Amino acid sequence: MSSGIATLLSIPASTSAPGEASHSDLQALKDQANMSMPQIELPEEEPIEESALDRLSHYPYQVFVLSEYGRPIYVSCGQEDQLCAFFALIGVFVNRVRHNGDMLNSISSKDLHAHFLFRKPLILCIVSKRRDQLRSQLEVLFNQILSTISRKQLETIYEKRGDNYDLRRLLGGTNKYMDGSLSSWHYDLAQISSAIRVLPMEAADRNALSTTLVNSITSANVEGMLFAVVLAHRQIVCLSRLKKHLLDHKDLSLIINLVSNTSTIADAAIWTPICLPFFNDSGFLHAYISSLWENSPAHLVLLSVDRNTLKDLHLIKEDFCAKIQSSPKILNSFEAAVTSPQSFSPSNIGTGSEMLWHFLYRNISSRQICLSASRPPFIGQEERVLLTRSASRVYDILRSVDGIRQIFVRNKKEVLYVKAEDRYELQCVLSPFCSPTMASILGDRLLKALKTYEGRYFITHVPSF
Amino acid sequence: MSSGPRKKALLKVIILGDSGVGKTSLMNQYVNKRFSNQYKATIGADFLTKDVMIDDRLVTMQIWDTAGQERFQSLGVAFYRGADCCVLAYDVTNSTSFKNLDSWRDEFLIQANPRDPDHFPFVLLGNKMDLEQNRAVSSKRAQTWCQSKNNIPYFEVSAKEALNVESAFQAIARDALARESQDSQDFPDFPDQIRLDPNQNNRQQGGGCNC
Ligand SMILES: Nc1nc2c(ncn2[C@@H]2O[C@H](COP(=O)(O)OP(=O)(O)O)[C@@H](O)[C@H]2O)c(=O)[nH]1
Ligand SMILES: [Mg+2]
Repeated sequence: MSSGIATLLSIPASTSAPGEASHSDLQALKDQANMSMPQIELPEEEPIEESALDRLSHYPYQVFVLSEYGRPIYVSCGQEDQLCAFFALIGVFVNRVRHNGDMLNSISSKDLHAHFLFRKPLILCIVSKRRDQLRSQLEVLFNQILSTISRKQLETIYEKRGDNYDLRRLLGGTNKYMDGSLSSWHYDLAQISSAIRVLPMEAADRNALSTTLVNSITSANVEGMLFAVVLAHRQIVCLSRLKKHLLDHKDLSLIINLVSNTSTIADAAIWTPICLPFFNDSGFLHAYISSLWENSPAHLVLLSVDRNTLKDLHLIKEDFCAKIQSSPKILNSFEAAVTSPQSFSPSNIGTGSEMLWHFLYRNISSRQICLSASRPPFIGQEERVLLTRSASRVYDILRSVDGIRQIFVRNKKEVLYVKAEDRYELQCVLSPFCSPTMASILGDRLLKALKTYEGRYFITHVPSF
Repeated sequence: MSSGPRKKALLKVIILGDSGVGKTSLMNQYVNKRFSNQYKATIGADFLTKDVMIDDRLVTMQIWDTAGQERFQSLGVAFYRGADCCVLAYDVTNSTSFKNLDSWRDEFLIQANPRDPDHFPFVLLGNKMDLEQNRAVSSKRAQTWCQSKNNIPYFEVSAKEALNVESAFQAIARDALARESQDSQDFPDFPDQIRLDPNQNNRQQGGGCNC
């Protein structure tokens, strides 16, 4: 065990210039891959597949989606057309094992790992230089596909249209959401921990905001209105819901993916059908998405079961905006929370806080996480990437090995301390001089402080209408 | 959701027939413009892909080859399923290979289970036409068989001499493409509105930090 996690995190010697923790980790990887990989012009007689396969080896990972019988649907590097034979091969692998009454899950070599997920009528496959959370990435990508084509449609489309149906005809235009789903695993700790992140805000301010939202919804009284979400920077500001209906965190993360990968919301509101498979996997909801003020990173998402409610939902949004604009207190606290989010500062835990460099707390029942504010040495992009990878591997270990309660790893440059209980998981990165006893004491202090500031960092109440 | 620009079509073509009729040679001749005299028993399924222009459309042909019934059983239905076209091949110097065509066709229809079996595109290739002196099946006989099966197109070819191979596969691609564009209605009926059942979804959403 220890040998496996000893290298969980290793901070580079140079701490690069302070920078915003950003989404650009993957972009950097992509750019890197693109640089060494100009578009290849294929000569006439050259077998295309070989060059296309060469191209793949430049990427840190690649994801393939194909029909049960090997027809290409999606590949994360694009141009699935050029990889028909490779898709067919994946299909042969999976089907051959299935034919023997078994299921192919993974193939691993020293530095390359392939994971397969068969979700009839689709096969998903990831090939990666890293091994952690491969299955989860495929499961979330499958959910992403279901949000475009409901499970019911997916199950019947090949029956209706034949096994040779080209599903790309139905998924057209949604590649960016699949890309977004996959890239989030490289920067978003909420995705990695299968949870959602809450935008820090005083409980009273958050309540005022959600009460206003509920008031706008109630007074409009729109038949079929189901859920409302306010979000910013992929974090939840507040939520409300129709009585007796709950929004699953996995559905919520599909909404986050939709919002953060639709570039046009800045210019105009979006009205789109979306299947939230954990709410109902055979039907569609209709989402109205709009930003809350000009150039605002905050968005309002309204979900209705009725597809004729576009105008009504627009009026709810107008009313909500008018109400917050007319209340300086709500508007100011909201704007401040959105424009300069105040993450939990380790100094909240008092003495010893200088040893606590970073933490990630995850509540198991609410599926909400809380992250520490970034501080040295974790401010540069490179260090954030390392933190993200470390967290991903810790989750992988916690999910795959039963009964782990605590992990303490002393690396050269830092200490990693993990505590897992039934109700929460806590990952801390501490100074390399921290002893196991000290790590445990600081961990407990941190838990206490989180309890004290609970209302600020978690959504404890979701008002209904 | 919009169907976007038209994607390059992929045609899955299955080539079936008795062992030794020249299926692998035909595929190699077509894809690689090569002919190898060495008999090579194919292991399980094998496929080659080739990009072709059909009129103004770029198409990827993926040709799936087997080695005789007993072996490709190991791949099961996945081998046949999702095919756009099935090429039946026999050896014009071998009448048994011709007689077995019926069972190959039936086998395909059972395993592939296509949506519209009566109109599923088959093509018949009579191979080894370079061995005219040893011919055992007349063109007439083959054509009659094709007519009885809903007018399957028939080509006499030689993998060895590269006779007619190119044009036969072009015809196969054109036929399969024509069918693809008949299927124009892409969007499934929009499902009925979700009915909100107040009891469907009543798990407790735990709040907060709980620590
Ligand atoms: N004369 C002649 N021989 C051929 C032709 N096509 C294939 N063959 C030979 O027939 C034998 C069987 O060919 P192969 O492609 O392996 O048949 P398969 O079992 O159907 O795949 C080999 O010895 C080939 O060289 C052809 O057009 N003319
Ligand atoms: Mg062969």
